[in-house]
Amino acid sequence: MTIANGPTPVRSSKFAAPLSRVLVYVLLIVIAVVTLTPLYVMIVTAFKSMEEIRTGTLLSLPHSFTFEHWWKAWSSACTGLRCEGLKVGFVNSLLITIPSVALAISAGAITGYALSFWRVRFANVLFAVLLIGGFFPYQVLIYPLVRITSTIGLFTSLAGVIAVHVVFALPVVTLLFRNYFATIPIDLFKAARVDGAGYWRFFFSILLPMSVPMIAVAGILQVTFIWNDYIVGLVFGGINYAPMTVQLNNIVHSTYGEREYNVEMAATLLTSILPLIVYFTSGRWFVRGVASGAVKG
Amino acid sequence: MTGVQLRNLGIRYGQVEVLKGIDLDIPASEFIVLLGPSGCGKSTLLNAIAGLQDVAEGQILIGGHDMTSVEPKNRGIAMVFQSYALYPRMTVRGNLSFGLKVAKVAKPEIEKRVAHAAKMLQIEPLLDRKPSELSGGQRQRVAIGRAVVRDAGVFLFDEPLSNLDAQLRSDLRVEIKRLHQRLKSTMIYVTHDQIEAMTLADRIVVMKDRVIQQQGTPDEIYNRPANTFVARFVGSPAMNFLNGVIRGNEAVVDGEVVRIASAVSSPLADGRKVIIGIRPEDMAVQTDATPQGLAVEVDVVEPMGPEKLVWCKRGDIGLSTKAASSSSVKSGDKIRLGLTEDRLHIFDVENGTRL
Repeated sequence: MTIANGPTPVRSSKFAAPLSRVLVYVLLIVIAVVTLTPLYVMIVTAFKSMEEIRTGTLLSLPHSFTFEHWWKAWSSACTGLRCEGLKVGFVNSLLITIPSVALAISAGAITGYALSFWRVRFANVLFAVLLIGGFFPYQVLIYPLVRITSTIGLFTSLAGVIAVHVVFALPVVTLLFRNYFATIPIDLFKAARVDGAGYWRFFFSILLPMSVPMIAVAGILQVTFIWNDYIVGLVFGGINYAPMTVQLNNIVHSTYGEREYNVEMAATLLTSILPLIVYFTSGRWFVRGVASGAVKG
Repeated sequence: MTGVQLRNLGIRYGQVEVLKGIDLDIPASEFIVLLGPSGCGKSTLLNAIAGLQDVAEGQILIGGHDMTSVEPKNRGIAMVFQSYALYPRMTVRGNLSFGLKVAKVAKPEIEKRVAHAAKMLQIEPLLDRKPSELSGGQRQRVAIGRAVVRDAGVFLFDEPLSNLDAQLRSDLRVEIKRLHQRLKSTMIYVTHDQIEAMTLADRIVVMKDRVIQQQGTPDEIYNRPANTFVARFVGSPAMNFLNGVIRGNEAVVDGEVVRIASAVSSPLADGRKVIIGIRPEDMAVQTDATPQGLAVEVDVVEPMGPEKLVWCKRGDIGLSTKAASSSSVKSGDKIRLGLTEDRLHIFDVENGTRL
C-alpha cells in the first residue's frame, strides 16, 4: 500500500508549489498596490494644475508636468502668518535632528556600555527603569516636560527640543547597544584590561570601532523618528524652531482661500524625502545591524 | 624572576562561596597547570591572579609583592584567552602594540618588541592583517604574541588550545613549551585536557569542585594519584577500578585473588573494602590457559597504530587494556588479564583517598 501510494505526494507537491507561490505573489502585489496608491496619488497630484485636479481624475497622470508647486511649497507657501515656505522648517528640522541623533547615540552607547561590561550596582534595576520609561506614551509626559523645561528656561528653545528628543530616544538606543554589547565576548574586555585599557580607552579604541553597524541602525531609527516627529517639535519648538512637520501641517491646515492640493502634496513629499532617502540608501546597513545585534541579544 | 603565592584565597559571587582557602606556591620560572573539569574553579582562580576577579579574602603575591587589589595592568602579568580575544578592528601589529601604547612605551621600543615577538612566533608576514583574515592557529599565535610583548614575569593561559583542532593543538603545545624554555617566565596554564597538562607542566594542580585535589609533578600525578578522582581524570583511557576485599596480603576481587602487598603503604585490616585501580597499560593480555589473572571476554578492539586498545567484559565489569599492535586478539576472545602488583593503586572505598 505504502509503495503504491509513494509517488502521489511527490506529484501533488510538484503542483502545489507553483500554486502557492502564485498566491503569495498575488497577495504581495495586492498589498504593494494598496500601500503605494496614496504615494502615487501624492506624486501625480503634486505635478497637476488646480484645473486638472478639479476634474476629479484622481489616478490619471498629469497632462503637463510643472515644478511650480514644488517651488512654491519650498519657498513661498504660507505657514500661518509667514509666507516663506517649508525651507525654514527644513533648516529647523536639520538643527533639531542632527544634534539630537548624535547626542542620543552617544548617550545610549555609553549607557549600554556601562550596563553591559561594568558591574554597575543595581544595573538590572536601572535598566528596567529605563525601559519602563520607554513604554510610557509621549502624550502623558508632555505636560510634566513642559513644566520642567520652562522651569529651567529651555521651553521653546532649540536646546529644549533636543533635550526632549534625547530623553525619549534613550531607552531604545540604550537597549540596542546593550544587547549588541552583550554579544561581544567578555574575554575581549578582559584582554583589554590586562593591556591596561580603562573605561574610556576600551570604549573608544575597541568597542566603538566594532559598533559601526549598530551606530548605523540607531542612526537610521533616530533620524527617521526625530525627523518625522510632530508633537515634540510643536510643543517645545515654539514659533522659532518649528520643524518641517509642524510647518507642513500649518500649510495643509491653513484655511484662507482656495485649498491648493498640488502645493500641499508637494510640501508633504518634500517633508518625507529625507527619511525616504535614508531608508533607500541604508537598508542594507539596517538589516545587517539588526541581524548582528538587536535580535541576537 | 617572578613567583606567585596564593594565601588562603577565597572568592565569592554574592553569597555563594566559589573558592575557599586556596593556598598555592608557584616558584619563579615554573610551568604550572591547573587541571580539572569545567566548573571546578580553575578559570576563576586564574582570573583572580590576573586581577579580573575580585577576591573576598586572602592574598595574592606576585614577585613577593601583595597584588591582591592591584589593577591587572600593574601586576606584571600577561594573559592568553581561549577565544583569542583579539581586537577585531585592529591589525595584528595594532593588537600587539595596543598594551604598550596604553602604557605609553616609546615608539622605537614598541617596534622593537613587536618585531621580536613576531619573529619568535613566526607571525611576521601577518602583521598588517586583521584578525578576521587569520586562521584559528594564527590567531592564537597572535594572542600569544600580544602576551609576549608585555615582557611580563607571569604568563596566564586560559585554555588557549581548546578552540583548535587536534593537529594545531599539538603543534602549538610544543610551541608554548618552547616559549617557556626560552623566556623562563612563570607560566600558569588552565586546561581540562590531561594530555596538555602532562606534556607541558613542571607541576600539575588537579582541582575538582573548587578544591585542590592534588599537586605534584606529572609523574607523581600519574603514578601516585591521591584519590580516585585524580586517578580517573588523568590518563587515557581512564584507569580501571575494581572492588575488592582485603585478605592478608591479598585482595579478593570478584572471586579472584589479587596480590596487593607492595601497592599499599601499610598493611590493611582483613575484611576492609577497597577500590583497586589499575591503568590499562599495566595489565598484560594473556591467553586463557594462563593460570593467573582475571578471566575476561574481549568486547571491542581499537587499533591505534602503535598499539591496540582492548575493551573487555567480566560480567558487568568493564576493563580496558592495551596490547601490542602485532597482537591477534579479537572480539569474543576469552583471555586473562595479568595485573602487575606494584602498579596497583589501592583507594579507600568511602572517600576514595589513596591507601
